[in-house]
Amino acid sequence: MNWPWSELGLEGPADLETIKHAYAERLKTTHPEEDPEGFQRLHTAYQQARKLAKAREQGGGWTPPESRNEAYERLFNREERKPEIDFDELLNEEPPPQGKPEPEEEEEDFDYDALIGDTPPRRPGPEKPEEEEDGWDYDALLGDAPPRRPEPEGEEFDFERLFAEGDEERKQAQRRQAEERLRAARERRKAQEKAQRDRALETEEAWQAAFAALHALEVLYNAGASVQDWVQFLHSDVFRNAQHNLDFIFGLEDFLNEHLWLPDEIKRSMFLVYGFYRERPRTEYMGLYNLLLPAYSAAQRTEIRQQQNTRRRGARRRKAWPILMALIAGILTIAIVFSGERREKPLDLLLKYMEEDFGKDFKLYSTLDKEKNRFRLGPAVDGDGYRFVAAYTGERDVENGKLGYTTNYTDIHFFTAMRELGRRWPDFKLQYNEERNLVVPYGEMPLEPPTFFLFEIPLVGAEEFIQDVQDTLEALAEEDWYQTLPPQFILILDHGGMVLASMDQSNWTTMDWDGLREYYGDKYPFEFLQNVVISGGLAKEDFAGETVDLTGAFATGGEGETYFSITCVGIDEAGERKEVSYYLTLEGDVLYCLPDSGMGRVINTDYDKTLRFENENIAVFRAIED
Amino acid sequence: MAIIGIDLGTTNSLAAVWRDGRAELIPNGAGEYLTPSAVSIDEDGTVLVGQAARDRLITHPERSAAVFKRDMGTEKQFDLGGRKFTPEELSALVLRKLKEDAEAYLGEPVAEAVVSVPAYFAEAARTATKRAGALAGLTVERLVNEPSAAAVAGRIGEGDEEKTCLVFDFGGGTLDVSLVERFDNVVSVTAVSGDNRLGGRDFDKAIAQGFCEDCGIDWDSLERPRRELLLRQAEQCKIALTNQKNVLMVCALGEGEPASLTLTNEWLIRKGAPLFKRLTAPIRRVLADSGLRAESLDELVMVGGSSRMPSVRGYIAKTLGREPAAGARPDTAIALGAGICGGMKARAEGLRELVLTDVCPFTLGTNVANPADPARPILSPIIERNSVLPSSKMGLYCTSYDNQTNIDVGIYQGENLHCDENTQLGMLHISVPPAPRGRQVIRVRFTYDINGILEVEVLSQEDQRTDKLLLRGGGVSEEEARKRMEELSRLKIAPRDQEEAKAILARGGRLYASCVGELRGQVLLMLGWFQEQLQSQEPLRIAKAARRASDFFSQVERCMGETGLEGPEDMESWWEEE
Repeated sequence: MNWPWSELGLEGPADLETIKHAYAERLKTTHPEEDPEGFQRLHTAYQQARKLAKAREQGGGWTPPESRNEAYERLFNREERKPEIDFDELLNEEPPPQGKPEPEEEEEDFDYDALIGDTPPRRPGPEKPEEEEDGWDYDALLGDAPPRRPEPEGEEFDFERLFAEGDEERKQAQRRQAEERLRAARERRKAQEKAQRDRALETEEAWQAAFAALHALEVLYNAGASVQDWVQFLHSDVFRNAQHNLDFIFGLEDFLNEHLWLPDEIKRSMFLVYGFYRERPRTEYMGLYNLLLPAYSAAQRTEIRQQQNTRRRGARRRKAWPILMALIAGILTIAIVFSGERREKPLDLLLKYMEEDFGKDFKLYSTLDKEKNRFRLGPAVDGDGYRFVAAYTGERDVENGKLGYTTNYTDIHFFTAMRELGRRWPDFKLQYNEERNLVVPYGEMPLEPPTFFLFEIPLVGAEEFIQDVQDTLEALAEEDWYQTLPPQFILILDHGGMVLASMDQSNWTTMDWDGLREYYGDKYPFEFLQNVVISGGLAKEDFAGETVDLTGAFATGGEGETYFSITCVGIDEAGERKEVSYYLTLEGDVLYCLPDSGMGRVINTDYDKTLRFENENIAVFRAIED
Repeated sequence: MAIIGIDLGTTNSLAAVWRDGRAELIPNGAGEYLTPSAVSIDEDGTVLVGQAARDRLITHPERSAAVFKRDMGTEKQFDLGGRKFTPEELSALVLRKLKEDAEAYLGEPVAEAVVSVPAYFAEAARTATKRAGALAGLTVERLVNEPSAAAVAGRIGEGDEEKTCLVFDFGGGTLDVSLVERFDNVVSVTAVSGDNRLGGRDFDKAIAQGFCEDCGIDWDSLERPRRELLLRQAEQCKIALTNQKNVLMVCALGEGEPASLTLTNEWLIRKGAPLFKRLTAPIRRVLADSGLRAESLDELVMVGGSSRMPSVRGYIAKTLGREPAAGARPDTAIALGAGICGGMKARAEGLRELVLTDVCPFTLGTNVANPADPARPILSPIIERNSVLPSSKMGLYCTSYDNQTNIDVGIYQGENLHCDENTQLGMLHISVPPAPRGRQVIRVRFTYDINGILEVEVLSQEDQRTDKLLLRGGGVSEEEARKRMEELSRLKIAPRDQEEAKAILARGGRLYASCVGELRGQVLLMLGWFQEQLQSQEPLRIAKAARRASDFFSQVERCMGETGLEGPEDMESWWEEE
């Protein structure tokens, strides 16, 4: 077997030079353009030959077979050549990687030593001490030595230093940028904090001013200050600083409401100081305006009359004195009556508004709170028999939704409707409010009707009820009173402590009733029972692990009785797959689980022979087979 | 019929041909050997290729494109005045121009060319280059790697001395390093490596950005024309630094003082430090792959325009401990080599015995199951990188689970361990009868021929079922190719005789944009005068005016380069002469 040498046209192993020339010669006839397969064979042989030749040269490894003569010649006559192995360098050098080295990395530390090499340029012969008698011709050898590596011409750049400088510059630039950003962020934050502080300070100051002004009001009142004092106060800085502050305005309104007998002149001065005489003020001042207007109007009228009187006085001074007195008295009386009437006004307005809105006549039953204009009203004619509470709030602006009053009139209507509904379905216990036990006997109207309604529905069979709820709500929504003032309410459908549906006055119209009915009918019972089976511990009895899959559920049964079958699949203690079916039936609060040998057996209500499981709201009993 | 060789470079392209026993460069319409790889669309829709287009990069950046070689093989679209072009189409326009120049020079039609590509170009980019040739009306069967072309040119130029060379090809956009052995009539490439995204252009950018850093300008906030201007300036300074120790870079940014900075080679090295470090990685890989040490090299050959930078030369020289060989012509070696390869392909006299063997730059392989992470198959190499071409190797593979009936054989190119980190070139399927795992064996054969066409064949055990896939430069059907060719050919190319005039106008436009003040006014005057001369339609007059104008512009450029903005006084004397 003389491959690869034969392929190259050689007789046997040869050195690198010979191999290369042989290869080149063969290429002339085995050109890759013309004979790709032949070329491949040739090239493979060439590569192998090179490897072998290199191995031989390096003095190690396997050498191809050769004749004995050649071997002797080789062994005894070849020149003693120290292999050019520098151990230090070998240890430091990174070996050429086998197979696939990593692809391009950028910042490799470049092993100059390996590449540039610390070994001196190859000289034809090693150094030998002079003593040796081997006939080396130094001159010839030295003369033939290859020229020393030429110094790189042109400029020599100190690359390391320059790279380092460049990196340093870049790092500094980055650092500067980062500092810049940090500084800018810090400044922004400082500015924000400052702005916040300033705002807080402003608000604080404003409140202080308002408080001071309000305090001053109290002081003046308690001291029974004169009108002049009041006027002085109204023109003072204390007042001016606070007069447009909302806190102060509300405080002033409260003050005026509390002290209704504040002299009109003072009220008038306030009216003037606020500039209300010029035009109708903005919304936030309206309360104040309404409170001060009567005084001002009265004062205005008085003044006009006074002016008129002054004019007339000139003419009929002495003789008119008693007449004047009577006149003044008359005016005062009228003023009193006027203001008295005006003091009734809220109620009249209230009644007027409500009659407008509801189309019914109402009358006053009692005044609950004069200050707050809260009245107890009832029907003018004995009709509904409802008595309710209403309060006059002032401005009426129907387009913008302000009725000018608040009332629970419609809530009562709603409550009544709900109570009717509850009576129609006595099994689905209707409960009011949080306490769940405030039951109002029919006929008596509560002062404050309940607004929270909760119905308890059973596991199955409440579809008609749900329909009724829907119908009722929709019918109510069409009533006039509903459309004028929708009532406030919360309505909940509950089973076993789980809320199936909840709605309030704002969202019940978007309720998906059909969906609810469907869910209630098809899915909910099973979900509920599955929950019970697993959390109640039924499944734990039969299965070892935690995870149990529910694979089947259906309902069956005859008149008035519904059985549910739930099938569970899991792993039992022995590690085997197991399937168990539970037959369940629900009686009120109690769930019974029949032995799974079949349905139709009489329920075993002998509690001694049952296992009891716990679930939050439902007691689960499981019959033990005899 | 001659087969020409084309160096389709990132910055410049050249064409050459083997004629009368030597390789000759082919000049373009303006008499230059280098044609810039730039394309621009004129206002009236004419396509300009070359120096005119290059200048218009500054004045009309939205209608011009350059440096598209880097995007070959991708779907990136270039928008030139509203029309969209792929990198292939732009390269095709450049190739077409070169084809016309060659036909004019040789006096005969040219149908085939050998085009050079970076040795490290991936499959997609190579096929894109072939398609570009097809779109330009040239059959491009053979692609030659740039360093190999340079080696061949060296061989022809220097004779058959035995040498082991390291070819360091540093062009405008790419770096290729090849280890080449030359002896007798053989030029044998032993190993290749490179960096597809490292070139002279990156140094331009480093200079421009460094300039902005030092002058306190925010690079990111400049608009595109400004940036192009800065890059062009940077390039000129970089070129100037080849012969000078320092150069003044000036940039006018609207109102106010123009920014200026003195650049030196040291400054360049500092600013470009990361780029320099990237230069040595391919060298290291190539030496490692071939098991050679730096001092066993006989010669260091540096080609490619950017290898003229003294800083780069110095660095590589220091790294390898030897000076680059003198006599290598950096700009033209590759084109000449491509021309020689054209001659070799045509089996011309004098080249019959010359053999160039090249290698596959990437490992090619297929996917095998990865027990550690079943979602990430591992690459099993079939043709290792640096295998000589043509190469045909076979791998044996078996099923990986019981009753497996379908085997997906993917074709991947790359060096990474996981297939998803490499590039997928294609996929084959073969069905096998169900059996316990490992019992069914298939043979996968990869054949990569000298034209760079990969053929993959999958045979099942009994030789009954086979599946074959030919990965040629396809991807585009005949229909589509023809349609695109038609579209491209409808684009009107500016006639050759107008080329020089257009180039001068574009150059003037660029200078106008670069100057300020009085000098700018002078440029404007000259442009106006030249356009008047053009309107006369007399060829002799136009030729004289063209020469006049180019000299003037050269003078302007010199002024700007040396002293920044001074020098309008010198300009005065020009006008007197007329």
